[in-house]
Amino acid sequence: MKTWPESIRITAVVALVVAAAAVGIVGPDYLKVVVVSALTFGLFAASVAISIDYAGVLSLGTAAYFAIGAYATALAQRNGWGYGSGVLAGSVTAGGLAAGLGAAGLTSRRTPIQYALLTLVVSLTLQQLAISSYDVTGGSNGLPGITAPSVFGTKLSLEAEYFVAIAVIFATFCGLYALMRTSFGKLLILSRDVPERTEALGHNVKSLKIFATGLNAIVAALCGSIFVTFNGIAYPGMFAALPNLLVIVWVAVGSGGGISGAFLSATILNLIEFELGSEYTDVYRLFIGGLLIYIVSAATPRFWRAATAKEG
Amino acid sequence: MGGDLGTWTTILLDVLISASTVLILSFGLFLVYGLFRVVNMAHGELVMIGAYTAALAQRAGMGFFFCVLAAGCVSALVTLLMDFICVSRLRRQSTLFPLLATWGFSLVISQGVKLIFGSGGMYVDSPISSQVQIMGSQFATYQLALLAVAIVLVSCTWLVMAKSRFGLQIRATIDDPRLAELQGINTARLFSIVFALGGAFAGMSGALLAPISAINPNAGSDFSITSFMVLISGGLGHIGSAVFGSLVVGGLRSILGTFGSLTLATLGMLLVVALILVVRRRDEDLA
Repeated sequence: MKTWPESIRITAVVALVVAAAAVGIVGPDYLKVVVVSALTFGLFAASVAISIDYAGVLSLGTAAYFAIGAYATALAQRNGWGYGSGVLAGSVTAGGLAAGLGAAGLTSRRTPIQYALLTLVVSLTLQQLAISSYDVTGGSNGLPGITAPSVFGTKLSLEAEYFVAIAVIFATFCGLYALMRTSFGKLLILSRDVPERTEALGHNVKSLKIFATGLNAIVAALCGSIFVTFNGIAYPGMFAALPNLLVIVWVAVGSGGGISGAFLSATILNLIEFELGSEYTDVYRLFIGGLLIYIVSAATPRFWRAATAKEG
Repeated sequence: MGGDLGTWTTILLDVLISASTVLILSFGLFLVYGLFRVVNMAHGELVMIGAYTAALAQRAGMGFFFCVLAAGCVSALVTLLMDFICVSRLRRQSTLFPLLATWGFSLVISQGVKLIFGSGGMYVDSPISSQVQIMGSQFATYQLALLAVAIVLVSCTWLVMAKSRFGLQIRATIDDPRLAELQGINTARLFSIVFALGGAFAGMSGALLAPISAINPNAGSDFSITSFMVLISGGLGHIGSAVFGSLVVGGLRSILGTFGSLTLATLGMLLVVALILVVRRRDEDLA
């Protein structure tokens, strides 16, 4: 798989955001929901890329963080606790869960496979919990009817909500991009490639990896919060195996391109899925499964060398 | 006292039945991971294929025993195809590549089944519908038969691994693949055989569990979560690890499900599995 130069990737990200702004001015309402959802998934994939591409930690259950953000925001909106408290609760819960899982699974005594499977099992278990805890989570139906947040008692219009969401997504992406270009980003790569030497330099590799997964979780929860306000529903399927697999495919397609590669691949693949429509969903997912097999098989030398370089 | 004994016997049998169901379900996954450190993420989907095959075979008038055999053969063929396409090559490069590739296969299989058979479910009639009374409690004879199947499965696998030439070759390959090849063992072919055997066990477990489970294209995910919990809590290697993991997961499901709610059982299983992962010193401790 050929990787575009960084300058082209960043230009493409900026072009996407400008195009999204244009849709906000002249596009129909349904297209705004489609575009903001695709960009939300783009930011989600970028956060997962920090964990995989930079820290070398493969987690198979990152959709759980996204879903926790969505459920926390939906619950806050339904119970009148305020949109901000929902976003905060979602981020804190997701970050705490990632830290707990990292403390349990990111040790030299555990294999990367065990950590990866543990995160997936947690996500699937949370799905079962969301289905069985009907009184709180609405069971299989989820929590529908989530409306736009209010500012000083006034509900935001779709246009205003749209531009705020685009601004938050772009600002968060820029923040992550800038962070990965600092010495901290380089330290993450160092801990991925040569963990023993990083330890010898006085850095705690485990803490670095936990921080990266925690950051991934917090941003993913933020994405879930944005997603639920536009799509109006949080549902158990957000924890399922499929969204967990999809985000891995998005990151794999953008592999080698850092967080901008993941952002672009996720956004573009989601726009394609929306364009194809629901009648081709099954065929599209069949294609996505085949795409993952192809990327892992054909592009192996380049593919996540980081995540596999130091496995146990 | 007699009543207490009856209650405890019932609880014990419930735990054993639940653990045997979990063991049958996860055995194929455990076999391949335990021997070659390859996680087949499509395991749940292979179980689902086995269940579909059994349902179709039963519809065609085949007896239940042949339905189970057909299920094992079809799932083994699908597994061999996966092995041929990429798994065999990828496993030499990293343990994570086969995991990701088989995850891709899991999506292909579930969507393929959905496209061919639709989203609706299928069903398999139980070959034994009677019940037996033990210490005052009623048990389905079929579930007791599954307990017997699990015991036979573990015993036969232990015998093959410990006493046969095939088991010796596998143990030699695990200890030192290069030395094993120098001794004339075709390790690549051995992996393919074990991988296909894992698929066959998955397919047969799908047929065996079909009379007591929901079968639909998404069922693979439910089968996978239980199997992965066994894998995480059981650890690596030894066949005793599979039994231990199945007792933990199946036992907790049975006890917490009986005395608490479904939510409590789900949460309790997850917490205990995570706790085992934290407390256990190394994977090999249980081997």
